[in-house]
Amino acid sequence: MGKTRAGFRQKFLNRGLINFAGLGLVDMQVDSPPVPAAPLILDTLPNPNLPNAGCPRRARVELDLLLMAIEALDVSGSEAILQTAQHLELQPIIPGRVKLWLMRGTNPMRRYSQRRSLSLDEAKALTLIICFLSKRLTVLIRQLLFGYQQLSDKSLALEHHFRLGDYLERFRTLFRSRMNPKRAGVIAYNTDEKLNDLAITMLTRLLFCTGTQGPQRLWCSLFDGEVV
Amino acid sequence: MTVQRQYILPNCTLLVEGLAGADGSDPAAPLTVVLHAECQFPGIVMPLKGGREFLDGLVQAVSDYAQSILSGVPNLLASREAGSIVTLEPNGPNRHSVTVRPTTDEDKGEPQTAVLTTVQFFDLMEAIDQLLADTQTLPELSLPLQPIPRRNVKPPESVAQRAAPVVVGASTLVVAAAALFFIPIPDLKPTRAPQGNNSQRQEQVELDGESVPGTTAQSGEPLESAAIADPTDPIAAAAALSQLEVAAPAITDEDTLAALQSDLVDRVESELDSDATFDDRLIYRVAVSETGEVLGYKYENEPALTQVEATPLPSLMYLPVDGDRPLDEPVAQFRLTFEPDGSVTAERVDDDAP
Repeated sequence: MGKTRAGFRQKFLNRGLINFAGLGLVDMQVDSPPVPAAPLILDTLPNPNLPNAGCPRRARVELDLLLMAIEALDVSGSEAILQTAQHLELQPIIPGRVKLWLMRGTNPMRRYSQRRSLSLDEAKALTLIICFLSKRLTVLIRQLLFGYQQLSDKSLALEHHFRLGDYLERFRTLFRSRMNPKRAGVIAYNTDEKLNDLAITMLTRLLFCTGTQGPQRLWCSLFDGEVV
Repeated sequence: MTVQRQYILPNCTLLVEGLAGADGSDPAAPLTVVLHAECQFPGIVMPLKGGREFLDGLVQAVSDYAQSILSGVPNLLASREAGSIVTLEPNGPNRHSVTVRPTTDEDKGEPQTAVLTTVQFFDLMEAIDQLLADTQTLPELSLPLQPIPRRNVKPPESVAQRAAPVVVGASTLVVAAAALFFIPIPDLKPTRAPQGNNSQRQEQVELDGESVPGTTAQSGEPLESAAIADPTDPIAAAAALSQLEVAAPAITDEDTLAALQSDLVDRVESELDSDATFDDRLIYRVAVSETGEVLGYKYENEPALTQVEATPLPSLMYLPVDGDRPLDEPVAQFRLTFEPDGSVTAERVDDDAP
């Protein structure tokens, strides 16, 4: 087998079809590890015409809160986020838990907020993950919103819907444990009612992410009022 | 050939009827001409219907409205757009009302309206997305997705709110300027810098030190501090005297001078041993304060320097408490002479001829 292959190579070399030395591959100096190419799936989202590099503040807050809503819906949500990153072949951007934590830390409302900004590729990766996971949770999201509709039409407390009450409580707990209570943006949500409203808003947005064009719509909406 | 396409979702059914292909012979040809479009919602009796214009308006309006739900940023341009026959606006916390104006050619008069729940609206949007993704129906119809430019977004604060800080700042400045206008400008009196005084004094001391042979080696030392450290040192006492010469005004009153002169002689004689004798005449220049304290003395001849311990001058020397502060009380200067036989005389020294 090996002999045959060597024979083939010799034949090609003789014909001059493959000339490794000529291509400079033989004595090529490698100074740095090869730069991993950005996953192709990111090209489905166009680059917005932003005045400065990095994602605007609202986009960073939005992405983090949507991920938090997914975690509130799904108990194993944080694990699912990492698995989805693997499934969508986004490891070059999100290699692990720490990178994900750093990316979500760009939300300025966080307790351990990162000073760096979120790059567009990172934001695209998070957008795709949110849409993928929300699509998996479509049935639950629709049930919760339908229940919310019925309860609010009858002016009943939201806790009457067991599953909805569970979601709201988990969302409030996650929000309070992760957000810096001294920030003005967080002080605005200092009551259960305001946090419930935020949780329902995020649930509604997750519903719109579940659609056929969900990623494109979510991606576009992140830059509303920011592009020039 | 008339073709019907249906996009069925749990809460919305979108029906598009039209002609496929130019000649109608190819069954796989895409639907390109819309004759009729209809939206049905369960629980709402009247479906929304219309022609191509209705469908185009619906695609645009639903897309814009969905984007504003996702971002929470209202689009000023979309709400102002009068050209579209379909408008969507929020109706209460969880309701969205769709209004379809009658087109001019149909002329039915009454606009069609429907109030949708969020889930129903989402299904409408999803039906439209599926229609757009369907290459067999209206392939030229594309999704008009664009982020809203900055200029089309209503600023979160009104113009009056944004102008308020500027106005408050400017008016505060005006008020402060008006108040300060009535305060007179303080006239600045030039004061003698203490640093300059010190250096001048130091120079004077050094000059004096050089004038006496045998003391040149010590003249470079910081004499001022020595004067405070050891009042018995003749060099230091001389420095103190030099300080006084520079800084202190002279006493000019004749009576005071005479009194101080006799007082000085009395005090020195009382301190001096009665049987003291000197090899030579000892001549000192002495500065005395108004109260008779000896503030400084200086040798005038060589024996005066070597035999200063035999005179009572070191013990009479007054040590100022605060050595750093220059003395500015008036002084009188006398030339004090110890004769070899032990007698003491004092005579006035004029400032002009020391």
